[in-house]
Amino acid sequence: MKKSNSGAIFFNALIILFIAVICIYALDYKPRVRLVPLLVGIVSLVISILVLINELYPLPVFGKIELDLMSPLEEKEGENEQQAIPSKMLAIIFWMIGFMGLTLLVGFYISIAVFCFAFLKFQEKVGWLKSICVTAGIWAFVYLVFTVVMELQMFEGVLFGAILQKI
Amino acid sequence: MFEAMGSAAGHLLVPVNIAYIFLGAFIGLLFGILPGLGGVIALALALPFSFGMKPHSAMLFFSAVMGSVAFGGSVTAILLNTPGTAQNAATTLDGYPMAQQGQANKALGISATSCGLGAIFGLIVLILLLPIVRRIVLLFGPPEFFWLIIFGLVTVAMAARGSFLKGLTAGGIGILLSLIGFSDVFGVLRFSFGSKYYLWDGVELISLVIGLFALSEVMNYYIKGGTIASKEAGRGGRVIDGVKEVFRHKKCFFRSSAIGTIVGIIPGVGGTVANFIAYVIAKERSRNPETFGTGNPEGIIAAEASNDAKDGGALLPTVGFGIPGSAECAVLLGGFILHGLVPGPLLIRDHLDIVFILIFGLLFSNIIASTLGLLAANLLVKVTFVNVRYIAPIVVVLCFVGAYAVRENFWDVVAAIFFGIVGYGMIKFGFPIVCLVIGYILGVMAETTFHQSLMIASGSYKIFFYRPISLILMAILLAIIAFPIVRALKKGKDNEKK
Repeated sequence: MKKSNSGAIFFNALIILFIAVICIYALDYKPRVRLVPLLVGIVSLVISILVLINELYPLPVFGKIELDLMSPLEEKEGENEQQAIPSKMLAIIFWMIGFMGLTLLVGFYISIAVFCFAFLKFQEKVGWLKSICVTAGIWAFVYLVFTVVMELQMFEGVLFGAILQKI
Repeated sequence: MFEAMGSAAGHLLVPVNIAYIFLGAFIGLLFGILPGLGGVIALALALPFSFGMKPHSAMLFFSAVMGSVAFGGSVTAILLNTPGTAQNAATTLDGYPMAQQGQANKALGISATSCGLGAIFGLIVLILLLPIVRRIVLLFGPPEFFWLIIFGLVTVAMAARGSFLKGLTAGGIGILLSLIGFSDVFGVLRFSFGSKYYLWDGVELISLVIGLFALSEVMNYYIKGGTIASKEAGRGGRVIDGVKEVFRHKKCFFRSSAIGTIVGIIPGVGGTVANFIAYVIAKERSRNPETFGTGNPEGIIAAEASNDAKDGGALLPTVGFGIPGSAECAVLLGGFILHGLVPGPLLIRDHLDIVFILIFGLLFSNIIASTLGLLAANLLVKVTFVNVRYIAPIVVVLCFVGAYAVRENFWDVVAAIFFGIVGYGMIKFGFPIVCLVIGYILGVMAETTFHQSLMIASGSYKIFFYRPISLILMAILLAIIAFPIVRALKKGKDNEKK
């Protein structure tokens, strides 16, 4: 029988919250417009609450059904996930958001070079030569495929005059 | 018919057309391998390049691009657990575990052989069915489409790793996400949460797929560290062993190819549903269903054979009615119009050679892509033994640029990161990502067919329950849901007795 996990409970609660918000929003629309969203929303809400209850108080009946449908690999993965290092998770999220922020400011070409090199050199402590080679390789690949072949206008960054689309 | 076939074969002997097939196959393979960029984007980008080509050459080029994407997508699905295209999602279920066990060569061999032979199967069926194409497509109305979509969603929830209930929840969230934005059916903007521009067209599919599949996986394997494949397991498994596996599981191959072809014929449903239906049925019919999800060859055969066989099926409504059988076929229709060809019964009557050119293009590009895949398999598997510290920044860069490239909108990059974090949470807490994506892809279609059915029946819900094909689909759906649950409960009782 599974032990209840605070992270899983929090994630389930977020899912329930999202579905509930959609259902509440749907009530503002005309009956035909809200029919499918409300139908799907209510069914999903009930199922997600069942999942949460099962997370809080693992029920034998769920275990019986789930065991057969869940692959053994998934159970092993779950065990590994429990041992995951939160600092590494926060680090990769930080690097991704940092890369996005830098791209917003100075555009893709500078940010790709800075992100790749800084990530390899300072986060992963890779040697200078390898860091420079990998950075140069990915930069050249993106330039060739997206700019030369696809003729894509890459985002140049707000500092260099790029304008963000309205939300 | 044979005259048209001969005429089409004649075009294949022209050197420039052979070059277009190779070029198209290479482009398709490349776009398939790159996560986030799939057949639709490859074809969309190929359209302007075809301006200067003759119609026959352009059709060969398009079909070559279309035919080779699927195998390309399976390469990353097997090696990185990141399906190159959404249609390769089911391949990750057994392909990636096989790679983790150091059997990546074998998995690629299975995929290449299943892709090539599956495509041939689908195209043979297409040739045989061409004379009766119209009758087949007309059997499916909105209620049947609706049930087929529900069928696809439920089977996906059952096939995916993780619990059935979590799969259904993820599918439901996917449907709800797909309903965000302007509704063509009702002419209103829904669930935009104050966004009047960015969410007008809804959540961008590419950002969603890149975030959920690729970025979440980058986070997952970066946190775990090391290499994708365990070095202790070695690089055992040969490509030829993979080829043999397909011939060893002939029944699974033919059944999955038939499923792929049939689902491909149904307009708009496409390969994503085909490969999951084939996967579930392969699992149910297998002697070792418990090994599915851990690197069972039948899982890869089912997913890839059905995926490629569906291309032949999808061409039927496309050329026969001008109704796209898949997303790629929708872009292909643009190519027809660009070159002055009108898809539909007239195309079959007046330009049957064009149809055969598409068939031959698909056939040869699949063979080229599979051969290239088999030859390069030993090289490609090396990716799984590269430390993730090098792969993580590369994939993050490709994901960001890929998300941006579709609409040249920076907010799509932000959305990709958001979905990446959500996807990581889903992986960590056992919610199958694939269910969410399928729900998203089929959500709008489900709503549209639901309301179309009600309009046909003047608001009566009975229309969903009395039409023969609807009833058959419902019966299969109920059987598929009930069978594993009953079996699980029975197994539980047996264990208690013991």
